[in-house]
Amino acid sequence: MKKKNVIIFTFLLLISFFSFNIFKISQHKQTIKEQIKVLPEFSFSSVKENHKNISSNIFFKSKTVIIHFNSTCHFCQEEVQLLKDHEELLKSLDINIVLISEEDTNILQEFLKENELYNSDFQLLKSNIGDFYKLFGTSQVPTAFLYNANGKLIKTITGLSKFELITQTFLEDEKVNSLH
Amino acid sequence: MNKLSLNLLLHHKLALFFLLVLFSWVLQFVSNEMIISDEVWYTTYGEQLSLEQIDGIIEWNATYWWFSYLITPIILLIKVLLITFSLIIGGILFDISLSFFKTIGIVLITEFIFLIPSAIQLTWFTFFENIHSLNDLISFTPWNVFYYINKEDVLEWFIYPLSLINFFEILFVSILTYLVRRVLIEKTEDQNKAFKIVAYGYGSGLVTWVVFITFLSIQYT
Repeated sequence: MKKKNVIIFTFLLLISFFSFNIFKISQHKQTIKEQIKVLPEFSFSSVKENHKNISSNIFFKSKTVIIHFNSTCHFCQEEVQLLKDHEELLKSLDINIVLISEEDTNILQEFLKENELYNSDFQLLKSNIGDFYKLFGTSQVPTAFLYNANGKLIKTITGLSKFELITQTFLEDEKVNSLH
Repeated sequence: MNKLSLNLLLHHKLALFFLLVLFSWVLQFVSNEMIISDEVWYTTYGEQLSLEQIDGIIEWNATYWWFSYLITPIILLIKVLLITFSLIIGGILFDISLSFFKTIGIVLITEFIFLIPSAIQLTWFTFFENIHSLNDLISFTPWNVFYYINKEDVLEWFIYPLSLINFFEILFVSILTYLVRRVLIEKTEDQNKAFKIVAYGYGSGLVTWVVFITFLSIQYT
């Protein structure tokens, strides 16, 4: 009898724990979905500018790509390299690139050096662990959030993507906006 | 299946396991080498990735082709052990002690059922229809309730639980019940408990697994 009770109790405990978390996370995701429709307010420390806090306000009214990344992830490295190769084109299209990582500042500084990003226009920000997830609802890397000049989310890209997908998305959005 | 051939099968659990792995490898090989061509990769990822990036994926697959073959026996072993333990737990709930070695034997036999859906998919795309993207292969599951539902109406994290309501899952439970009654329960008066053992043991194990996977998928997608 005791054995049976332990089995039933463990089963109910596991099911309750996972079900409660599924419910909690799905509610959180719904909130996030609404929250990221417009560029959310945040303030993270700049890796380039000696811990100076950079607020999301400065990216309002300009096309911005927020990329959650990790320097050890192969696809993230490829994505950053791809953006670096097209830096001039991004500049000509007025697209801001904001890289956000939760890694230690030392590691990120090393990443900047290795990839010769100190002189680029890309922002590299360090968020505290869990902060990016709270704001954007994802911990996957790389994930890119494309915001237009009105601060509206126009596309989320999970994983590696071709460069044209970014520029094409902005161009199509501009075309749609100019029609309205 | 007569008692003699059943006993013969149950005595060769290791051979059964190797056979299960071998058949899984054959299906994987046919799928990787004969069905999923390079063109399929280009069509699947062409919208998001550049040709060079897709070339990279194909190259990665060519270098680490052995990885999916290596992981197959590990996944099968874990699956068989989990189902075995869930049946033993089901037995405890109904005061029947199930032998671990006999239980793992019948789970191994029944597990062959889950090779059939993949075999049907590969046969279909070899002889009846051309495959364009990986989604064609993944979504061709007419034995599944999910196949007949409008996918846009379903929440992303609800896809996995729905996909488990299928003909082969019902077949698996039926054959497992038959074998539990035939092989594992010795007393005639207890044989009507076979379905209850499978329903409560395997059923609750499957429910726990489903909520666990749903929890992971909602957390990380």
